[in-house]
Amino acid sequence: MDVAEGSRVLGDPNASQNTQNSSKLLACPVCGEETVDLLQLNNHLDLIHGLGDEPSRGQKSQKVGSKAHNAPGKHKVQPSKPKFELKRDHWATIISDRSRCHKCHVKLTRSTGMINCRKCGRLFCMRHCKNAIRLNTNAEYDPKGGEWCWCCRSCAQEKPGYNDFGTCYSRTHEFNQLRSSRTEDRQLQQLQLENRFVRLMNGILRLHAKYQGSLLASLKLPVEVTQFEKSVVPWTPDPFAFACCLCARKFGITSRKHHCRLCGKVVCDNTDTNCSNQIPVTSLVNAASDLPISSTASLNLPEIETQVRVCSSCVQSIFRKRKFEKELGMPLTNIFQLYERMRTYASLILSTVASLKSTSQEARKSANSNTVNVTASEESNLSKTRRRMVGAFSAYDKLTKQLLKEVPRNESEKRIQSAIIAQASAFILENMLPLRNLTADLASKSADPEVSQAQSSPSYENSLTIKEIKDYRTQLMVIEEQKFLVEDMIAQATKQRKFDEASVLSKNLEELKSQSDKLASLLGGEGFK
Amino acid sequence: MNLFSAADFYIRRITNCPSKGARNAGPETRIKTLLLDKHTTGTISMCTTQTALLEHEIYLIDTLENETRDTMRHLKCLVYAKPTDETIELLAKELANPKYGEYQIFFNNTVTKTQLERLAECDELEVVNKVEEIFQDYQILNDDLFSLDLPAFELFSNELVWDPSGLQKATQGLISLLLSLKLKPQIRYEAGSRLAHKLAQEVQHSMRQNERNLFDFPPIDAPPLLLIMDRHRDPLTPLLQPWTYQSMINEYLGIKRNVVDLSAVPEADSTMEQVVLSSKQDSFFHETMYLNFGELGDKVKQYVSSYKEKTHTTSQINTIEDIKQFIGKYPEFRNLSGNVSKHMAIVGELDRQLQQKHIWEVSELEQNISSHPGDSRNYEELMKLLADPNVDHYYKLKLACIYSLKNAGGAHASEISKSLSLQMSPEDVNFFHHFSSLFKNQANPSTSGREREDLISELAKKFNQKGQPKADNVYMQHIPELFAFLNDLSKNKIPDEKFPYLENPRSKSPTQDVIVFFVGGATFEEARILHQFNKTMNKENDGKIRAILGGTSIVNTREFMNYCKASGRKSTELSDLL
Repeated sequence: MDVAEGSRVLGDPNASQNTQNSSKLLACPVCGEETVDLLQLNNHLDLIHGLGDEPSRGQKSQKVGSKAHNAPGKHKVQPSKPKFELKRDHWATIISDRSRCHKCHVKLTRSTGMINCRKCGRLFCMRHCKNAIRLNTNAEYDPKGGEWCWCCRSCAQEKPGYNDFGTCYSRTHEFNQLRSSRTEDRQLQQLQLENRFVRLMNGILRLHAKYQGSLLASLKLPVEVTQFEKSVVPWTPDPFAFACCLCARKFGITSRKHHCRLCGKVVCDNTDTNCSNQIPVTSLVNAASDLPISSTASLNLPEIETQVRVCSSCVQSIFRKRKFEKELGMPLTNIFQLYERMRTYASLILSTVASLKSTSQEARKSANSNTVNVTASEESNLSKTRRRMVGAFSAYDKLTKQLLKEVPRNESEKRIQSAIIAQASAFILENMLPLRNLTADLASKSADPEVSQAQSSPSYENSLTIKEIKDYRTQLMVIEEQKFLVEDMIAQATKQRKFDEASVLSKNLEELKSQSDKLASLLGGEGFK
Repeated sequence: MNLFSAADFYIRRITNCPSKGARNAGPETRIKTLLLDKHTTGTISMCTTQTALLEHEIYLIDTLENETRDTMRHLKCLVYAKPTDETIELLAKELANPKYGEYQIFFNNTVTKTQLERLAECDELEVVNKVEEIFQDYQILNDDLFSLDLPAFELFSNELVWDPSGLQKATQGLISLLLSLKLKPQIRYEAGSRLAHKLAQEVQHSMRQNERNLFDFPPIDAPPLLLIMDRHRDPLTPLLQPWTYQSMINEYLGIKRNVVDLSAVPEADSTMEQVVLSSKQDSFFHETMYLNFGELGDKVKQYVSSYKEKTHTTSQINTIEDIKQFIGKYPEFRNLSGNVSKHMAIVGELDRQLQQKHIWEVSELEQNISSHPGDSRNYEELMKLLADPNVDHYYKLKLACIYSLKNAGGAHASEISKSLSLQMSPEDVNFFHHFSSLFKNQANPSTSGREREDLISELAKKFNQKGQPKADNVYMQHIPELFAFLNDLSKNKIPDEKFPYLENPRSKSPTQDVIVFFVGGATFEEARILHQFNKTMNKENDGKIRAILGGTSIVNTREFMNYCKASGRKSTELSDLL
């Protein structure tokens, strides 16, 4: 119903009469209503199914059956708004008995119907031009202001956005902004904490250096260290602390108050929550080796026994990132290393397989066109690739076996290992086939070329044409003659003791000899001796 | 409009994302791990396989919920998750204590700003280098069928009112579908259904909110159509026993995420306890899933004989050439043999259940009641079946319900309930009464609108004869209401009074792309009809219209009955309170 209403704007309310006074000949492809002929059918489609455009109707009647049938209703059809003139010069013209549907290649007759796709202008039968598209007067797609016109399937599918899918929306930028707004603050705190940490460590080390070797060390050092620790960060006074600032547990007789030497806050030392721990100075210094802690050369670090109490949050913020980066920098475990090597071989195999496919296709082509040439080099090429592939495969296989033997460190590695092996066996299975084909190719080739070589080699082996050979032969003959003459002259000159002449002549002779050698090598087997 | 192509696109998008890397110059491996949550595990398993993922160098797949994952610092981690609060919390925990070296996060729907903030806060080590929304918050069953996988009894407070969270989930699912297909549709809904109307409004609202950043597709001349239907309007279709392969598997064996559980089958092969059936990967299933049981039998026969032929030829391995051929075809061959035994097992089990449960008799009567409601023989047959001790109580109850649905006048209702009460618990008899009231308001218009319906079924037959020659199959007489709609659609004459627009469009135009969505669940039977519609459109009508079917879930008869029972219980609970 709705579309019929829409079409009324274009068409004419009386038009429904057209379809009513019809005898039963042609069924409407959409609703099955029957009309007398194509003209009426088209009218029906335009008006009832809302696919009308005025010029098409006019065109239709000219083309198809204006002489045969002038529908009585047609004269009543008057557009109620400015006529929509679609460009028509791109339409393919109908040549009777010749034109075929662009899609199904059926010969266009009155029974198949014939219609131009309004967009591309190509000719179609009625079955293959059922889509609708909005076009402007220049037959360009205009989704908003255009008029509905018939078009073929490919034009309908080429509409922008028709076959589009897969919206993605990146939030990375937003995420990074949110993250950086937080990290700035955090980094400032971190910097402060690190500075404090460096000061603390440096101080403790300095004190150790001071008392190194001194007998008083065991007496005085702890006192001075404690004093120094208090100077690094102001400690929260005990009376203000009622509960651990990390786990919020109340302090009492069983849980003592401790001060973190880095932030100065009061924390407990509960072993379950790990709010604070005594950590040896040595391990602290080692863990933060990138910080500018000026360890004195004379000091032997491992001997320092002093421990420092730090809370878990300070440890986290100072060392977590360091540990993470250190772990990232650690070498790959064997399984991953093996995998990386397998991967390079796999890509080698894949690339040779790909190139092989293209060459074998070419070979097939050349075999079809019957030009038997350069089989030798092709054969050597093939055998080379085969050697390469076999090598790669055996290396791949060896790596797989090594991988199989590797003991995984944990459950995840075990799963990765088995997955890699499954993938590897599938890979080998899939890519062995081309290798086999290659071997087969090679076998057939090595049988063939011998025959062809035997036939072809006497005349053309050196890739010289007969004309060239003739030319070279005459040149060689001339030079040989000259050589003979010069030799004669030298012999005479030496006889007559004209040594100056002889030396010049012998130079000449050498030149001639080199020339003749060159020609002889060019001619190869074709020369004459 | 092919759902699988959108899914493939997204999977490529996830797996082939270039690593920004270069943050650390340390050793790197190309091995990747994929972290899923409980929602996306289902989504992704239905559109790809593990082997396909292996090819993308994903060698480790795990779930976010698994807390015993090992630390693998060198791995790059791809996270694919649904942005529920639960998942975001898990992900935040993961980022605060990362187990892998680098993270790329993909969400299958829109993430709220607070969720994003929460994640950003936890990412102290800056391990995340990508956050992206892709839109696949739904499960793909066939290339033109999707499900939101939301069980019906969680969605509604009663048959007229949405549960707020259910409404939100359904809206989000539909929005993700529209985005994944890049459609900005006009919305129509089933007249008189409050559920459909409400959902339509929500979807419209959500589309408008995201108009600028998400729904800015190029204008298209024929805007796509989203039609929201209500299951309560056509309760008959999900009540009848289905007869096509895919729907029978769902009815008798159950298929969840493409996995069929055969462990309950007597004499089952131990290797066949769980088999995977995917229309995408299994070509035999792809061919047969819309066939009815009779045609299916023929197809299986053909399949087995072709398999035998192949084994026969391969058993004669004499020459090296034979061996070569055999090895060349070996993977395909092994695949085939697994497939043959799988389908044999399934079809065998279906046949067994059909016999054992007397489905043939039950279904014939069901179909007769539903398509010839005036026939008095139906009542006699019904009473006979109700008295038959061999028929399961479930089917008797269902038959009674169907009868009451079709004969709304209440004739014989008392006799039927008497017969039921002789054998069943009072709850079940109560359910029978409740059921007739549940759908009463719909039963009346359908009787008054009979003329129109007859007209439609007349046309339907015509259409059916084109696409499907055996419309006179006794077991498939009933034609779902969806058919009438598709029929109207193909003529571009969808009645406004039956399916009003949410917002009247400025200009009316022929429809090219249609999404039909069933609130309360679609059935595989309807999927078949839609598939046939697409096929006919493609073949005979130049691909003029493309349609996709979806539902809050895919229901079989048992699930639908359970839903009806649950909604009955809800209303009794209410009356208890007063």
